[in-house]
Amino acid sequence: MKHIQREDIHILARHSDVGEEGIDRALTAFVYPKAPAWHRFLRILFLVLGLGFSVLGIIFFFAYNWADLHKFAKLGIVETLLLLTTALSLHPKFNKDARNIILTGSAVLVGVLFAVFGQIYQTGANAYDFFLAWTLFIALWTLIANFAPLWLLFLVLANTTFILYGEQVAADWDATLLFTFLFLGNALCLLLITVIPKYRSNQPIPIYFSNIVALATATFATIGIVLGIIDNEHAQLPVLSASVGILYAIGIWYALKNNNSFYLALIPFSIIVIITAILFDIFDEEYMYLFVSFFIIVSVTLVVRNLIHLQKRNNHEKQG
Amino acid sequence: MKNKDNINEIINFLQSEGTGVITTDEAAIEKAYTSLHGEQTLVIKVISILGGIFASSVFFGFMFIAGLYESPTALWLTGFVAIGASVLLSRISDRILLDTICISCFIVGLVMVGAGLSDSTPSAQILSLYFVVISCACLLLSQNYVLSFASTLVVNGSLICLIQSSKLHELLHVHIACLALLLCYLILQEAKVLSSGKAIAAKYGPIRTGLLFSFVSSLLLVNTNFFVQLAPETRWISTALCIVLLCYVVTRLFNTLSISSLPSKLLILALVALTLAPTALTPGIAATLLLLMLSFAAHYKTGMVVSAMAFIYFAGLFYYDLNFTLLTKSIMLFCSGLFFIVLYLLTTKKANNHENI
Repeated sequence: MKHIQREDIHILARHSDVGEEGIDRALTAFVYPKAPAWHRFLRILFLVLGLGFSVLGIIFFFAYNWADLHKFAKLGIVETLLLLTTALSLHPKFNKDARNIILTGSAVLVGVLFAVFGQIYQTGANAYDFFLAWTLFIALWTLIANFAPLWLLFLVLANTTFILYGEQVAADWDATLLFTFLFLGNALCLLLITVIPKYRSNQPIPIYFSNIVALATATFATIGIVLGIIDNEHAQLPVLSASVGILYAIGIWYALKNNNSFYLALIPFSIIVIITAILFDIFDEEYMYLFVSFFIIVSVTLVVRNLIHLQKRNNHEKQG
Repeated sequence: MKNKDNINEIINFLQSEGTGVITTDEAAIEKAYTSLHGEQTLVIKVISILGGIFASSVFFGFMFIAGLYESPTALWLTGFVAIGASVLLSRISDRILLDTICISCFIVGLVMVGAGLSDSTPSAQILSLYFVVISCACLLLSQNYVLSFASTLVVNGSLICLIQSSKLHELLHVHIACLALLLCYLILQEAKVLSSGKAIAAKYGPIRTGLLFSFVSSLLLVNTNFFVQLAPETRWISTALCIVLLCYVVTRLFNTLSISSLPSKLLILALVALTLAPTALTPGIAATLLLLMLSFAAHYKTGMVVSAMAFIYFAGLFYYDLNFTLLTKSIMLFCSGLFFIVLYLLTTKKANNHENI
């Protein structure tokens, strides 16, 4: 059965003589939620509000008394919470998704535990130490659970560790080198994400996950190249530009083959930003601004036109 | 075609319910669907808007560097031309492709008119009035989703500027009241609005979304004292109106949920009013709950997401502003949580009872 949507009723309303009553009946029948949906909505609303406020109340209570707690009490509370959530995530009564969500909660608590430890003992360690420990300790869980949000947390922590390492320890690296490493690392993850489902088809990877990793990769690439252009640090630029160029070419080929419109929007947009930076760097006159704004309009229009053509071709293939 | 079948199915359904014979403009429906196919993706819409903003900001750079601002008359004349061009573009072509150019012209035109007229107008009040008139005209004349949406936002923004420059800050409550009433009417009487003319029906979507965002931004202004200075004691006016509207929406719900006994109805309404009464100084809470109910009733996804996020923000603001110690706040939060859990258990029990019967 086809899914009747609001747009269908709107189009009908605009181009026919259906009266107000008819439109109302159509909307009530096909679009507006009925009693069971309302029941579910209200129950979920009350549950979320109830749990949310209660948990916040408990957290605030501990926050109030935190300074007066003995250090063993502080560590004890966090460790008990950690043990509880981890034990819960192994309990067979919950379904797989619920257990994975609880395990993600445990992974966050690992970080909380290390933060409390650092606060009590004033370890004075560099922030990157903390993130490195956190990343390493949840690595095994991430690998075994193979749960997209947990992988996302792991990747965020790994990137943060690396960025802080670059800032605090390897201070002789320039920005472009740092971003080159970040870009290459995330690109490697993206390649693995794209290639692995072909060999292990039992675990499909959610699109939002690969899109976020792709977005991060493209962002690092764009920032790295733009910084390299602005700072006139041309030492690392060839390496970064070459690898970005190769990867973007592969990305476009892959996107065309698989009709992936997200990559086809992301990569051109990144290239537009980079070319804008190059134009500003080469010509420093006032008329450049006018030219650049026209360039942006034209290039974005071209990208949108290509995306629409691609979509039309998609729809024709689906119907044909 | 897949979507044509949807139209036929709706017509069959309506005719079976006895609404009489329905005549349709088949050619126009076909045309609407072919242009709709290209418009559906969020990615394309986002890229167009981002590209437009990017391009216009670079254009401003050019403007300032080239010293165009030295002649106010040239500035606002060019601005008017730009706005006119964007409206014209939206009317002659309905290809989403030209959205980027359209929105860039509109933004650039507005800023130029503002910059050019700011010297020659005697007060900020009259300038705001000009903007209200210009954006209303754009809203009426444009035939483009993004332009109508942007015009709605500008109308509301200029009205707020008008209120602020006239130093009649309390009028913000009137503004919020009007927005709330308008949104209620628009969302609950969708059928009536859709059947009252092709032009308005075409702009229903963008105006609804524009009003939604304007409403939430006006609510943000109430508590922050940023642009408009409101005496805190007067805030309860907005909250009271939102509670009344919320009770009205709940009353409409009684039919759907088959709650018919008068005592239960009164109890539920009293519960709603009493729960929200303590939040009188943060109208955002009652208002976003109203929005959430309205959006769910009309299956309006954007409204649900925006109102949920805004509710979280305003609830946080409410507890943050309370003048109690952290301990008292934690107990209050926990009690609110328990209250809602009790409500949840009650509604679950009632649902189970219905199923058992």
